[in-house]
Amino acid sequence: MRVNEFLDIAGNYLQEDFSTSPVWTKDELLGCVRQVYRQFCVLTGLVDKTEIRLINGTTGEADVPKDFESLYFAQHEQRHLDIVKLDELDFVSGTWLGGTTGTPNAVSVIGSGDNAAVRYVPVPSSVWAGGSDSTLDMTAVYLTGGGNQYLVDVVDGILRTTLAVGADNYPVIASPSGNRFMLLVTTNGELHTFAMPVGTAVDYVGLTDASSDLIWELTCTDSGELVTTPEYAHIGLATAALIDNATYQDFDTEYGIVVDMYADGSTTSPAYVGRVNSSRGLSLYAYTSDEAGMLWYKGALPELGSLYSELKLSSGFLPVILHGVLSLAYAHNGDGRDPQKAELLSQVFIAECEAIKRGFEFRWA
Amino acid sequence: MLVSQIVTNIQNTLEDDGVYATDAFVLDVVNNGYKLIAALTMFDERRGTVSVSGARNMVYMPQVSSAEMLGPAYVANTSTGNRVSPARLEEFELHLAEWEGQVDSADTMYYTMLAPYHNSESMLWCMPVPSTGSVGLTIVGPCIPVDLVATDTPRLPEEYQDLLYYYGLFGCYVAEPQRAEDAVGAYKVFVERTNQLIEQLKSRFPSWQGFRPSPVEFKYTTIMRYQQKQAAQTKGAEVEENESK
Repeated sequence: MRVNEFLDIAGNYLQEDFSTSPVWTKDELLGCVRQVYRQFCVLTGLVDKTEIRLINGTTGEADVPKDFESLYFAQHEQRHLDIVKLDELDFVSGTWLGGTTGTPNAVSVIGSGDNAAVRYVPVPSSVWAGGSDSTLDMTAVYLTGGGNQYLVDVVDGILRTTLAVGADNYPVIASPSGNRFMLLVTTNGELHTFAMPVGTAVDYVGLTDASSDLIWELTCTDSGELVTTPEYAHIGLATAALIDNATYQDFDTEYGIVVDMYADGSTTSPAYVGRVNSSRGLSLYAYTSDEAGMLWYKGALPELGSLYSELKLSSGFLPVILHGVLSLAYAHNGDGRDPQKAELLSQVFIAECEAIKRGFEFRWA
Repeated sequence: MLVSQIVTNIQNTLEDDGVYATDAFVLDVVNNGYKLIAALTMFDERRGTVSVSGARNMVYMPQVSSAEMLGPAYVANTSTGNRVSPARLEEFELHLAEWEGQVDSADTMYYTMLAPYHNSESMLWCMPVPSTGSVGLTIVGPCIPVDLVATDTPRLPEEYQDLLYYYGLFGCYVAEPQRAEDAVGAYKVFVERTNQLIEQLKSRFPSWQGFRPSPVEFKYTTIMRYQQKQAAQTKGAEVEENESK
């Protein structure tokens, strides 16, 4: 149900049609819904989420998603890790201490909320140190063909060439079988490849998308055809990925099972963090590469952006949200204020959330 | 009992023949109560099916006749009848990579339930992945029923259909000015009757199945409000007395 429809129902209780000199406006009530929505998540603990996070190769720590509440399951390289208290680490063998490296056996959470960090012990020894794979990462490639110089870049996932001036570079890309192809451009700006018998080649050219910061890998097939694929690949049913904490990559047209995902960048100073379905649902199962861990955590439902956002809750739980929203509305300082009802509905809301929490908490007992 | 009779009973108690407590509004309130009761008591158990394959060892909870299933109370292999047992996520010791969704087995044996806040997000994680390609699972579990219309009969047990009356009264009192104490009274009876229904049903949901209905502990009393009012009046009188001195 959309927030707008939900507020029409709330309006019926408040005897508010939101049209003529309203006591409550929909914008005010939207604020109430946002608050109650978040409270519901915390009070019931029903919102389970997973995300893949990059592990810092020096500290062995991964940061947590913005809606992180508590960690209940952790994986590294597909293995389940024990979640331990920080002080328990002293009582195990020395290899468990932070600062040593090896295969992580446990994780410990330090801090709270989105300031928390998940510490892997020992620090994974197999983290990617950067630069060891054969790539050429750049924001743009300049090529000259027939006297015209072109910029080759990627915008919104589309590989394009535009007339521009810059320092020429002609990357040579190796195909899966080891054939070498140099990237060239025609006078009209059409990209093509030219087979090279010898020379140093890279596995792919990484081009940063000008609009999303997503890196696209430019690779060659054995017959020299150019292919662009996003560097961040995923496993699981993904609807979106959050790149570098800021940009969502939606899978509107590529919705489906994701095949692999790993966070990339320098492990001591992560340049990019890939987050599958951050705040947008649950990814299914995931492989985690050497430098990334999979966190299963209690989180929150996606932020409600506007009146047209979807209240992603079972219809059985919406009356509970309604009680919470009416409670805040009646507490509102104005003509419709009714502190007795506000107090009553607040207690009703909390009692119902607690009953739901107790009902489902056996999953974790 | 027909829903229209429940609506009429509510309007009669309010001595309102549909002027303020209109048929449409009261029906809306009754439907809210109906869904809330389903979520709290899990009374509406139904049978659904899902398909688990190697590519998708996580499956969404099904809908049964448009009713969203909240969670599984019983899961079995549809063709062999073998029971699929519930397990908690932390019981899956994933020290073998194969357990992460790749291992083949003749049959899936365990499931764990995740994210039960919405039917389209709530999932069963089934392990190991069946080697037979795709396996159908039969699930019996509580659902959230679809909206009632005036001519429907609720799926609640007949002796508990008064729950809808009490919730309806509560909702209508919440909508009327200065009726908070009446709302408290109606909600208390609603909670009491809800908890009686939960008591009757909860034996169907042993704790190891992952969830079971839990009583609502509603602590608000009108006496508390009355005492607060009295205390405020007493304090006010003391202030006046001090000021007069």
